[in-house]
Amino acid sequence: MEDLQDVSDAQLVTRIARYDDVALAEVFRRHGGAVFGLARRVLNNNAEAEDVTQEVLLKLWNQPERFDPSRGSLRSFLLTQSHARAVDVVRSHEARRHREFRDAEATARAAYDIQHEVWDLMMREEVQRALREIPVEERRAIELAYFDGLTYVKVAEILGEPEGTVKGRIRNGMKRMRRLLSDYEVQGVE
Amino acid sequence: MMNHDEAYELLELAALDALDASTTAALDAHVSGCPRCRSELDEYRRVATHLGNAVEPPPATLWNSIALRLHERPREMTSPLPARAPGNLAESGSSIAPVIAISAGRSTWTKRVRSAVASATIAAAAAIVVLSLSLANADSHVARLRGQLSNAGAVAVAAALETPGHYEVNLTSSTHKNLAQFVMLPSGQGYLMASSLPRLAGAKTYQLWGIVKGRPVSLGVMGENPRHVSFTMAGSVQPSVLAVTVEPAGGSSTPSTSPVATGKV
Repeated sequence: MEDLQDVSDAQLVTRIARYDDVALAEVFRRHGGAVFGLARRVLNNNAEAEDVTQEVLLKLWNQPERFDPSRGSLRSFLLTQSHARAVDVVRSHEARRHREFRDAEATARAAYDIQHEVWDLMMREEVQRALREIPVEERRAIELAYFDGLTYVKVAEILGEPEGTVKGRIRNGMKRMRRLLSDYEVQGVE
Repeated sequence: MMNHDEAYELLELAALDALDASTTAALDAHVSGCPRCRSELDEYRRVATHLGNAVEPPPATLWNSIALRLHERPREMTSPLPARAPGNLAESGSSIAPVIAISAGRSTWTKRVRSAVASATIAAAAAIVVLSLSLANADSHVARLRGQLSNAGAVAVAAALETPGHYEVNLTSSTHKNLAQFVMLPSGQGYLMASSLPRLAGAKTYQLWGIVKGRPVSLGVMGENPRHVSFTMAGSVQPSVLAVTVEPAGGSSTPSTSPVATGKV
């Protein structure tokens, strides 16, 4: 039998379309940790992150045709799905989370700082370097939106800044990140 | 309707999922018809996923949970027959011929479905059986996954055996040798509990059939060395007999050989 470790991601998805669950298992082996990790980073909750990871993998199983390799890597596709679903969960819990946050704001901030540092250590060196090169207020706005699952309007509220200012920071920061990653010749995540 | 300039200003935010639901929907509507915005959004999503690309070891049981849910329901076939999932074919008023649900490529699957519909006028059976079959073949070269899949299969069988109303079907050879044993649930799900079917050589596969009103209906291909197999039958008519034949790899639309094992349901 062919060793799936040598099979490309795109070929794995083709096999998944043929109901090959061993191919899905291989996708999980390659990318499950990243899908779970991002969901956990956004949700800060293992059980919810597991649910999101299940949903993302089952969606790939049920609708493999949604992955278009010409638009990016499978890892990028799965992370996009994981993030979007995690954000849905965050926002569905927003009222509850808001109450909890108010009660335990100091704890949450401390947890955020630790989580932030750990995550940074796990990023590729080039990505860490790019993040260090963008202005801190731009990085902060991007991270609040991405890792806390907030809309830019909510980010503006938290930072006490006008919405237009925060929108501009996020846009500028993303443009800088794109340019820097291109300069460092970092391709899409694999 | 969001215009191009409005959409273009939101792409970086959309890549971070930092827009509210209604704005996201409006942006998606524009992006779906605008190659330039789609390309830009893809670029920014790549940037975003760099931020989110850090691997944490997932919980050890997570794959098992996923594997157990793979065949909860038949896959929705959105392409190339978007509105015609197997169940819908039956609803069109045609009687339905056997459907191969697995291991045929999607295009092959489609051809077979079309062929089945074309031959519906000569198919007398009115049985409506929607079937899907999963294989979790323990022969994976991914050693870690092999164990996980095996565990998932064992867990599914154990759960089936604890389900009220379950029953067992033994498939035997013509010389009454036990070759395979299935546990069936009232919901229509079935699992292979044990198999002593010998490994096949060459490009061949075992294929499982249900005999419905005297006609064979494919329940799916089982691979060359079946160990963990599950399938789901939805429909009012249950097969009276299960049978296994040896077919060319990929399976056949009708049995091409005599059964190697049969068992009354």
